[in-house]
Amino acid sequence: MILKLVKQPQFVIGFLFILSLLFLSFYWPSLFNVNKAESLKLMEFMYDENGAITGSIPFSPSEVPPFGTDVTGRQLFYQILDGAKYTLIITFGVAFFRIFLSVVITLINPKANYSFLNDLVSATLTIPTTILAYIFMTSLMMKNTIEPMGLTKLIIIQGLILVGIGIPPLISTFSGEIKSILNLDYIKNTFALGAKKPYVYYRHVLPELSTRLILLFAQQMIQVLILLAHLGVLSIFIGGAQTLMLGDIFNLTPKDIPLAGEWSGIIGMSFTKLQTAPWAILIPLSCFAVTIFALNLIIQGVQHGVEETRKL
Amino acid sequence: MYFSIHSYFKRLRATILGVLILSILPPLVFGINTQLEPEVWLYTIIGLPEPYPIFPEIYEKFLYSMTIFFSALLLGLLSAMILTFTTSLLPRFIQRMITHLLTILESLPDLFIVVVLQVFVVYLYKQTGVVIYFYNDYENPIYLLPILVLSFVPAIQLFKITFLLMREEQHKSYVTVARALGLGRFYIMMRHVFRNVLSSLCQYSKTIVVFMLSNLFIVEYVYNLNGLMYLLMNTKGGAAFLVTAMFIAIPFSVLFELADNFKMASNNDNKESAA
Amino acid sequence: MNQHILEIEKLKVSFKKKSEQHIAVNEVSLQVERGQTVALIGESGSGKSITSLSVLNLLPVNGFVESGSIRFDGKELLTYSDKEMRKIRGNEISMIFQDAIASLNPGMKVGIQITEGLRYHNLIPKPDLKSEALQLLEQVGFNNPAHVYHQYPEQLSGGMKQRILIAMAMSCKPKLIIADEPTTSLDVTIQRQVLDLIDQYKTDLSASVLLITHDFGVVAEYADWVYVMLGGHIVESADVYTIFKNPMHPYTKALIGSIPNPSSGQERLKSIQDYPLESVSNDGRRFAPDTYTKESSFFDTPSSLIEVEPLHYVRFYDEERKVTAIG
Repeated sequence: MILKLVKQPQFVIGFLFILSLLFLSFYWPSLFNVNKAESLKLMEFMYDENGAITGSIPFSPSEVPPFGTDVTGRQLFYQILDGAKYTLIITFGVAFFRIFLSVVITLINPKANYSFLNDLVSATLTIPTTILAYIFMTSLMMKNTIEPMGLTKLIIIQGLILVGIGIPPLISTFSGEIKSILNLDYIKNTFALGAKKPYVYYRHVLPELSTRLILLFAQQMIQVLILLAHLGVLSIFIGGAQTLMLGDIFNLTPKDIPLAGEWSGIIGMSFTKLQTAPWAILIPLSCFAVTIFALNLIIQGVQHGVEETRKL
Repeated sequence: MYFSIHSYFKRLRATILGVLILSILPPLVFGINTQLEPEVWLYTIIGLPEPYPIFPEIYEKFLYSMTIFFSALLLGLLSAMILTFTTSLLPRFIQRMITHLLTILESLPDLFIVVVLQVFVVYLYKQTGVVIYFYNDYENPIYLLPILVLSFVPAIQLFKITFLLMREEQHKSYVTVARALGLGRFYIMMRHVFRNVLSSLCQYSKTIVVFMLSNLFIVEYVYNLNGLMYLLMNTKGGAAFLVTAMFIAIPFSVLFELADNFKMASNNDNKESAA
Repeated sequence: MNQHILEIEKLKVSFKKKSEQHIAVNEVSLQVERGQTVALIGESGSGKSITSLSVLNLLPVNGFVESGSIRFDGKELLTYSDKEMRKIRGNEISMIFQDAIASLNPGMKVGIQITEGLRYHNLIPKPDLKSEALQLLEQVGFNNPAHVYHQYPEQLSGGMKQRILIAMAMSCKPKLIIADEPTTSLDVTIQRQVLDLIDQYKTDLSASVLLITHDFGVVAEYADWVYVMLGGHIVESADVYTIFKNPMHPYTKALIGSIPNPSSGQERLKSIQDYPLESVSNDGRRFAPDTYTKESSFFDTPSSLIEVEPLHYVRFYDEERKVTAIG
């Protein structure tokens, strides 16, 4: 299977893109030979050689190439590079645990009829997941302000919310999928020949599921990415936010700055300033789009691979 | 005609239960009540001091959101059909290019489209002075822009699905039979292929509707529209959430039930013939 | 008036697959006389279906006619445009396909599908379409046409669907029907019914039939003239009596030998591989076991159809030996 996937150009391109993004994100300070703290610090004004102020935040991409700065004056380019690893790891982790947990839950009792769960899932599908996540997250934030918890704990609980929201629909997908696999003729045959249940699940059901799993995994990653972008707009940041006082002395305004530098935080932070600094939102959003595109390429590659094996 | 009261009541029960669970789950999990209002029907919007009651404005909001939703769905469907139709008459290599383009367009998050359009409208105003309202006025709600934005994603998805289905359908042997009868390409497309594609499109209706509802929320939030989804978000759980969620979940569960029945009916036909 | 309704001459059809060219039909010539049933027999992949599809210009996208001519009623079909071809299709030549199950639109009532050709070609006024459809249904042996008219293809059995297809093919009263393995997907009990229907139509309207099959039993019963095809070539052609009495080409012999014959008392039916390589003993009429293993490379060697007795043609691959064979 894996050998076949390597032959699919779309799969390879998508996969390599995500890998290299991850690599860049970890090693960019040494690759570009810049100081990490220096390049991520706030800069409020721009000075020419004589020390005169030539502009103030936010700077557009033409003033500070290549991507400009966000509303707090941090260079967007480095921020995005640095944030990629958080975004990708969160997405990967959430998608992985969603799939893993739902497969485990389904396999505990594969013949269970989850019909009640199915009903509940299809009834609540109409409520957007973003709203569900938002409601859970605000409750969490409120609790956090009443009795503060550590950063790690906060991130873990937030991750659990993101994972938990996706699990019920996935269970109903998997239970249907596994049931249809168990109904295949060759599986029935194996049982008829006297195979033990765990053996059949391990040898036949899981391999049969594996391509579906890869596809679902990529799809889940896309869904999580979109959910993250939405939550960013709603000013829900993974890892919480730190309130800074910005502006001049006479006009101090509180500003929530996300602690972890992931992409949705960049979007959420600048969202109210959409008209003054559209690039600060459009550029991270395009990064989301490109990553989703890479994932779509992976999905296409897998599908092509499956089709080719069917033809043989 | 396949509508059964019993199965609908079952679904209704599940809907109410599901929404109920969602509305009590957050306080249950975190042990705090986010509903800080003294009255259950009140909700607050961040940045505004006063709480609002959800009744009676909810009816108006419901109508407004549904108008936008269904006009967008219709517009999306219509443009997808027109696009499929024109592309299927184009030469092959252009068709292949279009499928690649679709993968790119499909990857754009809904948020991206919403934001780009908003920036574009402002840019247009600055350049030409043409005004297209995108922020909601409380007295005269806007329709044009949200409908346009909301129809974009389903148009692309539907276009992709119908396009792929159409290509699959054109290789089926009944098309060759029709050609052997001397029927024209356009005639076969209209009377045979298109009709079959439309009916198999019903299978995908649920996914697209669910996706669009999520988009509707983002559109309402970003454009600050006074709709049902925005209200739902601001209720933050509790009784107000329960009622608002019902306003969304119940009508759509009727639609889903109808779609499922339709699917089941056509599946039964197939089984009969196989027997 | 021309004696032959369909004349195919030196037809060569190729398929393009990733810049590789593959010849499917190689210099095939055949004639269909008016009022006759001509059988084209051969194994799957021998090019018989492609020959029939190229008559109606319905070849798949990657296939094309390289050379040759197809004359129908004296008109050269290969020079016709798509628009002109549409008037021929269904109207003058119609086709019955082998896969009845997939050949009907699942989303349309069969009654309406039957008269599609009539409606499109404007042959009869629209209000009469329904009565015409009912009549056609009755003609193909449905006892309750009014009921069948409103059914969808899924609700019919395989044999019923094949009869619907025949009704469709007959609807415009064509002069030539090409039946592409019309009985392959049916059970044995219905095969006869279907073939009788086609035969009945032929005699009623004095039309002609080009019957494509791989079943010599069918050929014996219905055909007047037989063409045997192998690897894109016609290897033997004669009228049906001669073929059965005196088959010359080893492939024909093998095919005829594979018809079960209870009176001969054979223990086991002979399969193609049981026939020995006859390249030497049969004077260059090479065939069989080696062609099954050595691809079709030897088909490229020059060969020609020789009239071994009046109106009995056999293909020889070896120029030197044919003289002695006729000898």
